[in-house]
Amino acid sequence: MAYQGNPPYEPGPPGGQPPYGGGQPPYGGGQPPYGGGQPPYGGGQPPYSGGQPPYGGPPPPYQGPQGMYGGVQTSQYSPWINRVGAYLVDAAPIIVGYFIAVVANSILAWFLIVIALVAYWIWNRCILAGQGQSLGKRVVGVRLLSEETGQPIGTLNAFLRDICHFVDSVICYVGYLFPLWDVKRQTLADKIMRTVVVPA
Amino acid sequence: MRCVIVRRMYSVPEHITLFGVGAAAIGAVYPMIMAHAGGQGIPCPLRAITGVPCPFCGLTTATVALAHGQWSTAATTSPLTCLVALMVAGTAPLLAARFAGLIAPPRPVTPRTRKRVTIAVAIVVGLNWLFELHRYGLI
Repeated sequence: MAYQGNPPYEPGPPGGQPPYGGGQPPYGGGQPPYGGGQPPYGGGQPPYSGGQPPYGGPPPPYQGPQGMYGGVQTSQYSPWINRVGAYLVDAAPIIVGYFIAVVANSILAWFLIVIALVAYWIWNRCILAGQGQSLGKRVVGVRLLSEETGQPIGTLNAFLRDICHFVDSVICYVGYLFPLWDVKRQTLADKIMRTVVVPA
Repeated sequence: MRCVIVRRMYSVPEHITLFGVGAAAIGAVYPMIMAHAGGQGIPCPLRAITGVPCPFCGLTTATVALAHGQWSTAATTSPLTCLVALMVAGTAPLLAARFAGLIAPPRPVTPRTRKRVTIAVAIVVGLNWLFELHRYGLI
């Protein structure tokens, strides 16, 4: 008998569940993630409660649902291809602007478009991403969060994270491929800034 | 009509294979794109800045060569790419079966196994870096 695969992913109502954890497996429909009835690797840790933080206390560190790889389940993080899609959406206005400037072929057009694109980049990649979702991430449905607090990282950290992407680029852009094999699906910039990208 | 997306679990080699298939497709048309764009390809920032090749230098050249069946060119440019290509070829049937839902999701690896694999990959990448340094005449 052929394996029937995982149950279909059906997103819940908006705002109906916490973005991660919540004591339920993300796409499991009640099934254990792997390994039949055996406890997953790294078991023994209590699952993330997903409830409200204690009154007056800081938010609990981001742990997510427990599962494989010693308490980290890779499926809770956004796949690499989703991140690529988000980046392409973010870059689309820049590509369009570049072609407009090439067609216009004047210094004034280049100047105005460069100014507009820099402003767009700061607004999108720093301000919006600092709040959790750039335009691309919103379209694709992922969020950028701090690994430690589970909260958006803020404008300055989002700016620094974009600068840290230089580290991803400097080794023939292989740093951008790290989410393919990394447990937390982080790029090197994510590791430096301690950020994760999770489904919204 | 409701769209139902079936999410399947894939292992790390299968993720890399998915990327490898995409890279091979791009590599097949890359020379044509470069011919129209008039570019010199994707530069390695580290080599452009310091003159020292990074451990992954030659990925693009080797991928394009492999996509056109030029194994010797690929092997003399980036042995690491050839190893990845072998893994992609070996994992592709598994990936197809997993995609079709014929086999169960991959079993998780222990942190110990993962650490061993990481060390082994680091050694291979290090050896490839030595090869690249030699290819560019630095050692």
